[in-house]
Amino acid sequence: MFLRYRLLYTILIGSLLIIITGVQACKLKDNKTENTTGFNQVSDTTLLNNDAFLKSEFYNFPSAKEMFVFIEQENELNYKAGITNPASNYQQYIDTKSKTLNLGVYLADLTYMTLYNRTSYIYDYFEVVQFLSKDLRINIPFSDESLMQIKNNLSNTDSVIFYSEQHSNAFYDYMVVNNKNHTLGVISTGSYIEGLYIILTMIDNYADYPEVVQRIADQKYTFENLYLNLQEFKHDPNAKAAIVYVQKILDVYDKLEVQKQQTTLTRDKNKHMVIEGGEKIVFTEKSFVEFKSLIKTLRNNIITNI
Amino acid sequence: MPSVNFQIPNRFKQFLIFSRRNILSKLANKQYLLISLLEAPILAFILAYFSKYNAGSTNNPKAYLFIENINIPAYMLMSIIVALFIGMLISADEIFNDRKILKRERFLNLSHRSYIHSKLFFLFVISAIQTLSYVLIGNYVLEIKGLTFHYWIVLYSVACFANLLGLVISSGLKSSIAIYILIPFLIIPQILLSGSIIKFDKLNTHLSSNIYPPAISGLMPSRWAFEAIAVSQFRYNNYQNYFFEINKKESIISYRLNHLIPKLISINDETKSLLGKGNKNEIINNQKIIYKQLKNLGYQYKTSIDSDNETISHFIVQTDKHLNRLKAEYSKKLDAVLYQKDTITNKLVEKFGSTAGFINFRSKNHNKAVANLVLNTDNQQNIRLYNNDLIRLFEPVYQSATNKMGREQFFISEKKLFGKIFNTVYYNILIIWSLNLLLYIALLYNVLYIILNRFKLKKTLMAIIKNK
Repeated sequence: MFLRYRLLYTILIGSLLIIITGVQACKLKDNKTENTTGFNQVSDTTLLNNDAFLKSEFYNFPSAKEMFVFIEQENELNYKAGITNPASNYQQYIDTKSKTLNLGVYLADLTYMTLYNRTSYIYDYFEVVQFLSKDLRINIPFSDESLMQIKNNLSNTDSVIFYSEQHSNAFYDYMVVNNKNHTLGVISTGSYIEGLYIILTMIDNYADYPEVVQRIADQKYTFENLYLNLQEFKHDPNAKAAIVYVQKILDVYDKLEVQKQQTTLTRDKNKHMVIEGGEKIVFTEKSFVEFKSLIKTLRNNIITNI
Repeated sequence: MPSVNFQIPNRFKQFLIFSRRNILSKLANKQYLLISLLEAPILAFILAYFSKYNAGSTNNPKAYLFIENINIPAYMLMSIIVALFIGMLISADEIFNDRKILKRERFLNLSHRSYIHSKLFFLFVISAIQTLSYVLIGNYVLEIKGLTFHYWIVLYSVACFANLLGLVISSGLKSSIAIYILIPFLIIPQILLSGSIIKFDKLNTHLSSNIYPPAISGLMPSRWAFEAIAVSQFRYNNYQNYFFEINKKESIISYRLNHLIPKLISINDETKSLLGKGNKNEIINNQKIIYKQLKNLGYQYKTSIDSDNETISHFIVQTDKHLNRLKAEYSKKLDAVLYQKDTITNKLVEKFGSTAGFINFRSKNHNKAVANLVLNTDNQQNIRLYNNDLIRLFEPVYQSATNKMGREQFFISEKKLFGKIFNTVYYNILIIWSLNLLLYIALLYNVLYIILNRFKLKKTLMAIIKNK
């Protein structure tokens, strides 16, 4: 049960993960010997034999703070302006479905803005996240204080990151403690689609970023997990709507070629064991373009409330 | 002896004669008439025009959206102050100016009441015209829709209060300078204690109550009027008419799920930590708080409140279980209410043809600043422990009336009087008219004059005693 919550959470904050893993791929494209998964590191080889563990923990991505430090240190990915959902759009979300999905979208946008230190926008996005949370009666403790602190510390990136992350943690805690798994699933769907949209928009040319494209292909498992989670709440109207989105994405993933590779365990420079290999899902240029177009359509449907 | 044909007319006839004289004298004074009738609409236009904040929309940065106008609460307060000012200005020297005529007529044994009633009749009519023209112009400029009557009846009641207060000081004071000096002293407290400029819980702690508006504010019609207009603007606008009841339901569930149950859990945890530390009183108090709140939520304990450790442990376990069960239950209830709200929204989208049509309807009728005011969104404290009871401070406008005499938190939307529920607008108007009645009695019996003369008499006696 806890693993499922944790998984949903990781999906939630992790539209970021798509952005991040894409970023990582860009950083590491000339260094094939390092950990190319960018995912979880394990210290016990016996875990390799545990399918449940692999399924659930594979998507446990690094936190926003870790990612921020990574980006800040290696600062290579270029920010692209105007690709997020404008904060002013939040007024057009009038029902719980559009509010929940777009709360996920804005959480992903907030992470993107935080990651790229766009402090002038962070406040706006944080405020919108708060508005939608309040509309959905998601009561995050100290969210007003966090908003105020962000407003007062816009020039202090560390503070902004701290409060943003504190808010994310409180958000997750609230959803878990108050049995809001179905809502968390819908938020995660919005978050994931927006994350994919951002990273796909950053890739102008398929051939330029093969590692990023591979990361996107690897997200198939995440969507499968998300789909399974949403299926548990299929009687909930909003979860039902989210399933439709995820199903469309999985349909494209299912058409992709799967290459079998041997699973290996290696140790990275920090002496952590790293899982590599297994099944490799491959995008062709055509399928990638098709996938990009689908994500764009789905994302636009979400943000225009269709 | 020749018979005397002169007979004093009855009171009603005297009233008519006094009224006729009053009206004719006013009609003769064109300047007075012009200023009296034009000052309200001109002020309304100036205030509304300056308060018309254009927040802009995505398509048009200069567009006026009523929903985004942050100045509506300020306009509400200014309207009340205008009603008080103009109401008092037209009445403050009415009796004073007549003092010579009154002196001449003293020996005719004419009815003082008829004279007062003629003054009141004239002033109430003028005030009705002034406040109506004010509301029509002001609300038109600010695009406040469908609430003309509510605004008017509240402002009119306040203006009548001001008329009466003006007549009281006019009959009690002996110089026009004294009258005009006194007016700011009567108006400023109205602004201060209206609940708008300074929040009631932020007043000097000697004055403020932990939960309710301070008692002294009860004497200020501005407080009753401001609450009435704010609640009316939020509760009775065309948009909220569709959502108020469901929002109230949602608010109650949200309060229980997000504030009350977590608070009870923390109290129960505290009780657990106190167990075995010998602090029996605190433990029993905590138990009583939990017991009362859970009883309100329909839960009956199988164990009684006791101070022996075994009973307390049992109580804690029982409470823990029940609170977790309640949390799951309210979480589901909240979802159900949110979906019910979606149904209403979808029907309205259908009615207005599109989502944009619905948003447009909301933008024209709902105001965020007023919503923030009556929902008390600035206040971070949503629940307060007071006298061993947990008091809901969360979203006062959605609270239900509890006190039999209407003593409730500021901005509650309904109040009880002798067990009967009234909406706040009418309840508050009733209170303003009760204050008006007190002033009317004070006016009829010349209370201010008597008080001031007694004070003077006392002073004279003291001087005599001293001289002796």
